[in-house]
Amino acid sequence: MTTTTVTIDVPPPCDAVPAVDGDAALVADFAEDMLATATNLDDFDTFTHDSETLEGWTGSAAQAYRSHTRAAGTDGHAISTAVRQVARSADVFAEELTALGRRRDDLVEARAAYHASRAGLLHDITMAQATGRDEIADLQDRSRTLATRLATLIADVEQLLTDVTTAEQAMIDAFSAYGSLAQARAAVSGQADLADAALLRAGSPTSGAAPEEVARWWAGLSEDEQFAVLAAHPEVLGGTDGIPARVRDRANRVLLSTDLEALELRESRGDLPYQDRAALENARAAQTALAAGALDTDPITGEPLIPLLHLYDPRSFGGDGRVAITFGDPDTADHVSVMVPGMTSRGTSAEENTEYAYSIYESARFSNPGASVASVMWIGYDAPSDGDVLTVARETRAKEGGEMLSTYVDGLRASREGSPAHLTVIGHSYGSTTTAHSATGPGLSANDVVLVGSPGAGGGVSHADELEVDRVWAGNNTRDLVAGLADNGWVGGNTFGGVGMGNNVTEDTFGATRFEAESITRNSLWKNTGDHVKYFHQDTESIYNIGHIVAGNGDAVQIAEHSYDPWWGPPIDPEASREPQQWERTR
Amino acid sequence: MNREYDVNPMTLADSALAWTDQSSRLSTAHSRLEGAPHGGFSTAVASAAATWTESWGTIIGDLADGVEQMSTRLTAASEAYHAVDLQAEQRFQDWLRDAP
Repeated sequence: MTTTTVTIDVPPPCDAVPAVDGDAALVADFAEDMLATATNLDDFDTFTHDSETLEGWTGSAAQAYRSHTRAAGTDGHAISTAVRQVARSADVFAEELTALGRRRDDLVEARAAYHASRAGLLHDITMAQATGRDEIADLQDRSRTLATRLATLIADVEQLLTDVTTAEQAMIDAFSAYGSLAQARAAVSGQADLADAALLRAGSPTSGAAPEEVARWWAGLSEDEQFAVLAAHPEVLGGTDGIPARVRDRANRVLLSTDLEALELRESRGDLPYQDRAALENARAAQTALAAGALDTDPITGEPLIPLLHLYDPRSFGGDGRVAITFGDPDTADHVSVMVPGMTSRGTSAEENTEYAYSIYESARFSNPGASVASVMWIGYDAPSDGDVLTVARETRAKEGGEMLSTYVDGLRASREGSPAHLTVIGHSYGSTTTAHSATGPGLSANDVVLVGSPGAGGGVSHADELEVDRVWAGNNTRDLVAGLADNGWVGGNTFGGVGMGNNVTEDTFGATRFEAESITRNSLWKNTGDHVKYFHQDTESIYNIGHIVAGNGDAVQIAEHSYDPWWGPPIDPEASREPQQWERTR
Repeated sequence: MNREYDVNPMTLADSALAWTDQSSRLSTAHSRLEGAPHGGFSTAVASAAATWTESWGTIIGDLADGVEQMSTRLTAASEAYHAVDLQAEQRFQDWLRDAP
């Protein structure tokens, strides 16, 4: 018997993949701190330019003031540019670290797979005592393949280490390039500011462009230009319709954090002026709403939700403020809803309304688990509240708010990626009148409109068709005192001397699709204000049906009978005697 | 020195408030810069980050101090103009009261 010995070269084990030194999340925190700092400094730069002369002050002292202001502002541009550049570099570095970390994880997996294959080959060679020519060729092939895999692995690890070094060096270079004030001065000398130049381009928000033009302007900027505008003018991006939701969120969060820190510092020193107290309250309310919203989870996946701050302006409307918060991304979601609250809504009511936005999100997700949803609460108009609450008796605020809502919804459409969303606007109370005014006035680019707790769609509106959307839904409950203020029956005029909001939207003659919206906790008999605020409460008929409407499941909505007005007596509402149901959240 | 001047002390007081606001924003920027986390950077980058934040922390801290002084001086100027006006008024009132 002849014995032949065959040698098969099995490649060696692969060395461990070195760790990527650094923590991307912490670098991102550093970048956000630098971004907020750059915003403060850019703001100061603008402030000194605008404050060189004070109206109504001339003379020697005024000249001395001007000289000092100029001196203080001389380096404003250089300082803000230096911090902005470092912020931008840190932002890029954080992204690169994340990507490098992922690549390293992939290489660790590839190394483990290589070792598994290698162990398998060694095992098969050991077991092969009497093997034919074909089997030997196969083992040799496997060995060669393993050698190639090892070479690739080693090359990839080397490339990873090179890329880590390159990224780190770019970060170090950014620190070095702006290491001193003299370097910063030299860097900006004769250079136009990137942010200012971007804002001079056609379609910029400061040119008064329409949301579609703004969306094109933003998309046309380079990443460096986008970052420069974000750092220098977050107030422009955060409040402009047509800017992507995630950009607005980042801009508004910078504004929120810089506002909170500065206003709280002044409060602690005891020099917070009266007019800024309301701004601080609004800022705190927005922060609380965001923090509470961040505790909510997607009801289907169980993943935590990060609410987006889509609008933040704590000083507008005489200190009432504007704020919008969304669960889900309205730029990518299949179904988008905008909830417009009514009387008493202002910046400080952000948390309560954010809870309602979550209820809508949750219900819509239960209704259609396969579809993505974005639910916005929008306090973007000057709703009657506090000292001006009596304006609720007139429609002026609703008309003005309707214009703003129309632009806001246009902005949601303009910043979309891909196909248009199915979009629902839900107006509650005075917000329902505002929503209807938006639809019948400038136009509302919505598929569905939902009116709940509605005192009327406006004195000039007699039929749902006038809203010119695919479908108008009405959900007034029978114990709601505010909804009861609408004109009921044939004897009621649309308004009485300009007071009142028009016809009952659940009446048969109005033509809206009425859905069940009674509460199991409703008052046994009387209309009251408590039943006016239950439409967005979890497990109610109302939120169950709103979820189906938002998710595009109109067929699943529990339809209610209209109220009607017989010639022989007062208006009749069949819902008054129906026993309400409770809907569990899990369906 | 220009002998002619025109002043609305309220404008100065309002401007002082605006400078105070800027001062508080720069103070918080200074604190933020000094407290910025370097822990995310590798050893190679962390020392450059520490040097940079220390250097710019000083620059922005000085800037914040100067802006706070501007607010203080504007407030003082506003009060001084008020005081001069009040003093002049008082002298006329005294003259009228003492007149025979």
